[in-house]
Amino acid sequence: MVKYLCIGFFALSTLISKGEIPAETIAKHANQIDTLVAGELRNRRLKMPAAANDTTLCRRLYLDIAGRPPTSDEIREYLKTKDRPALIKQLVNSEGYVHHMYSFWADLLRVKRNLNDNVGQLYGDAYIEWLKEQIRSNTPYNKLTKNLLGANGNIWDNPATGYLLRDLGMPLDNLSNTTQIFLGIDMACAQCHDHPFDEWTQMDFYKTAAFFAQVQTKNSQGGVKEHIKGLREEAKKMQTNGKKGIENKLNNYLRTIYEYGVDSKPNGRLRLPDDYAYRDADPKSIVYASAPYGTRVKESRNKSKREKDPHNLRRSFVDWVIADTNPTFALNITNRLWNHALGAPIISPMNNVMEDGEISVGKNRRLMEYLPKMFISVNYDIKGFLEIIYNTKTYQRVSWQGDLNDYVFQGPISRRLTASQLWDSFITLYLDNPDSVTPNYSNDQYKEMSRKDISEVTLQDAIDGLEKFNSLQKSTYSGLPKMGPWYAVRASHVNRPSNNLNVLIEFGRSDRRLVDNGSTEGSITQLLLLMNSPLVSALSNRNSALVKKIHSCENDTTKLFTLFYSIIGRSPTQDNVNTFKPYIAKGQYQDVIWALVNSHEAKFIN
Amino acid sequence: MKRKDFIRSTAYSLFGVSALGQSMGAPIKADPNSKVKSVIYIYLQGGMSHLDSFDPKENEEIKGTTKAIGTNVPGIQISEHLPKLAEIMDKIAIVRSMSSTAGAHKQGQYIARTSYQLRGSIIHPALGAWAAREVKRETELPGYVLISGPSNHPGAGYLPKKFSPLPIVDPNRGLANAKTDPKIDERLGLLNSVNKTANVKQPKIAEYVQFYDETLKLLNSSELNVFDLNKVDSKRRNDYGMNKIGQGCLLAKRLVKQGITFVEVENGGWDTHVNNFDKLSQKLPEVDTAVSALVADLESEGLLDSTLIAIATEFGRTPKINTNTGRDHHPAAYSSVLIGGGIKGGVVYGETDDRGQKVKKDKVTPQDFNATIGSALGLPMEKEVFSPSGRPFHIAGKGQPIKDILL
Repeated sequence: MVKYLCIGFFALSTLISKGEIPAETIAKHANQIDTLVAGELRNRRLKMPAAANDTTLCRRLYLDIAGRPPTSDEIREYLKTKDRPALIKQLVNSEGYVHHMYSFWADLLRVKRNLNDNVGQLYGDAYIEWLKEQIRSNTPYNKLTKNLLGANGNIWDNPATGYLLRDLGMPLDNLSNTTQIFLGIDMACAQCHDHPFDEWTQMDFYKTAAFFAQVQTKNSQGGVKEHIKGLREEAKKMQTNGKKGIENKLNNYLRTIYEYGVDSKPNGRLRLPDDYAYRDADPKSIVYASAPYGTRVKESRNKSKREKDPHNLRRSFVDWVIADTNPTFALNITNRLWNHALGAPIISPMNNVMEDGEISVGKNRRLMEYLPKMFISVNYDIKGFLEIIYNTKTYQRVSWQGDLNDYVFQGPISRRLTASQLWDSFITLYLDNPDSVTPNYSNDQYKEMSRKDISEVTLQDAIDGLEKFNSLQKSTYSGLPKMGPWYAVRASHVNRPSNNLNVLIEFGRSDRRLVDNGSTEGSITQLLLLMNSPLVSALSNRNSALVKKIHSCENDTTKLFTLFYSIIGRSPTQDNVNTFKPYIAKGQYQDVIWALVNSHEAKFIN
Repeated sequence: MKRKDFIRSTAYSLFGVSALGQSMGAPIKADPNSKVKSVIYIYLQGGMSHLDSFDPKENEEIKGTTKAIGTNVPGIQISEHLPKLAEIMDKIAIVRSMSSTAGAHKQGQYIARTSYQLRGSIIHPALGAWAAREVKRETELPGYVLISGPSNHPGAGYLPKKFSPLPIVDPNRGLANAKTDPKIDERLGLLNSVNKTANVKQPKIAEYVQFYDETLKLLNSSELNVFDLNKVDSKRRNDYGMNKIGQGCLLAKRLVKQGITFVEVENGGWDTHVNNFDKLSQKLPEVDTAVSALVADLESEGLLDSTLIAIATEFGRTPKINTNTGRDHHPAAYSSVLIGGGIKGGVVYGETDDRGQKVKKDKVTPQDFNATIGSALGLPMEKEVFSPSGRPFHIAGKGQPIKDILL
């Protein structure tokens, strides 16, 4: 029932060896993108806006690539050379890029420290750090996807299992997210009934979900479950005071260390729901997997083959997803990355790029055909793909501030900083080098703990282990610098309920319960925070890097420039100079910082 | 309807609010003739033991150390830990036949707050968000306030963010960041100078211009005082109990008096797997004092008929007492309570068996309970509402109001 638009992927076998994309390739692709954008503008008889000035662009590049604004020194440094390709190169290779892309991935994959919404305690620590490492080492996107969807093992050994464990106990929800995240296909409605827009039937959904029928989101090796149960029973019998009720905590701890993981069960089957209401099959009957569109991939009906290699079914799905020939795999991610850079996707909504069984036209069809091909030709290199976009004239134009109906990528959209960018801009003011502070993650130690054979764990071992686990958890942020009541760490290090998290959530950081659930809407409580919370006084106290810098400035003019550069990335106008001069002269920096932090420019990327 | 038509009918918007508003259909409004104008929704996190509170049993094996006492309504007995409520039983409706399908906290709380099951692909609005959206109010303050709420609270769910609850982390500290620096006017002068170069025609910046205006208006408003419990004399504060739930209820009363539609007071510590009886002999008297003071206060202000008080939780506790003198999760049967506006007093609805194990008569789901509250408030419970993704929902799911306890 689903026909799809074959967008004619040409075979691109020009394999580029590992490493960076050559400058001439970047320039060639950037140029082609600009041509395609210009073509669409011509078609619609729209004007091509001017290029952005250097200070605006410098702030934009830092925020968009490193997730934070430049410091005053970094702006001055850039203005010496104005070498844009060099700045882009420097930023995509910085640790800031890892922090900023982590927000992108965590929002998309719904990554949380307390990873699962259903079970009490399933720590995502290992998964989080693994994901950051993939960003740092720039794992090709097809390989990253394969690692996530195909992972097996205990979460401490193979943290990529976090993707499936995220929805432990809710495999159908997981699948419904998977098609949105990796394919840009929204089948959520079909989970319960045929799609109201006639695109997907409930049977389509179940056939796709059946690829995961043999997945088991628990480590079943060596009787883990039975051992944990035994230790739990033993703990229950302890009646000594103070240890009362410890069995639940022990149980959570033992499961965290030993039980969570992904495996395959030979006899796993998916059946239709009790209330399946369509004529093509009976309720509760077995569903055999087959891919919903593209190359037809089907489950073998051979039972012994199925049971002999229980990983095979899921593997065949993953191979289908990541194939160059899959019509939406590269398209989905390039649409998302384009949105990440420009502020708007080509096809909207990003979670559903198909319409009536065809790929949607979007805001620029030819561009949307070109980007996936280009991405495949650079071997699914995410960092390289973004580097190309940041080098386009399109990205480097003045920001679009008008009606979105007239917008066909005349430049990036003027937009509010995300909660993470805003938080990280305060941290940058406070620390100057915000990447210098890292919490004490203890993943190696947890992994070490999980090494011990569960059958040899005594009750006392388990109690000691729980204690150690708790103390490691508690020490995560200990010894870190504080900015007012908050830990001065970048947003990507804030992963559990804490004061910091509340600030981030106030400004709309995704709670990571749903795909891309962040928001940049304003609220009164946000502004109460900017106006009256301890934030401004913390930024103005003697531990603040910004204040130290001001004190080292030679004269009032440099002080004023440093404050404007640091907080809003531009020099003061004549009016600003006249208004602010008396405050600088009297050393009333807190009033100045208050005004700049509360300005519109501090909250927006232009 | 084809998807493309659906998408076309919602204005293209990257920024959510406007498109969301339109795809939600024309705004639907609560019944303006409803006598009930406000709800104070007290939520006890962890699962309040029905057996030690509103549904005590005679059976020695089950009751533990909890004794039952008579109330001012002949024939109705409640726990000895609730003596003050026992004296005003004639104003109270107890639902003893609550029954839920969720035996774990997260799932149970989610159903209690939203009337839907927890899913990984959508977040449903809490009842308070619906109330904020549907009920007209006179005050400038938001329609929904959440006192001591947890971080995983569903809030506005798929509704626009403006229906999110205003959070009050600690009732004793009131609205966070509401104290303005004395130099605010000078600072605003500086701010104006910086903002001169900003493009206020950019729609998102224009929104922030508006938010700054509203925030300054709020900071100058006398309404702000209602959040400040330091303005209340200490005797009144003591009447409610100097603890979180007591002060939460006092703040809730002040907010309701100011015209806020839905105030949710959350309270933790009810998950009594260990030392059930010791813990409840402390926790229940706090509720007893807070709620009885709240009822008396609302009544003396003439607000009890227009304010519905609800006490809800995610499940009850097992009749069997475990080896830690605790009780475990028991979703099959538990109790919830309604008092005041729109509700008959002196009523027990439903019944459990003599062990408190199963519902014997008139089973009530969390959805039914929410439908009862919504119905009293005049919310359009029958109306089908579409989420932004086009899925159809009702405010209380499939819940049906308990007609027998509604006035």
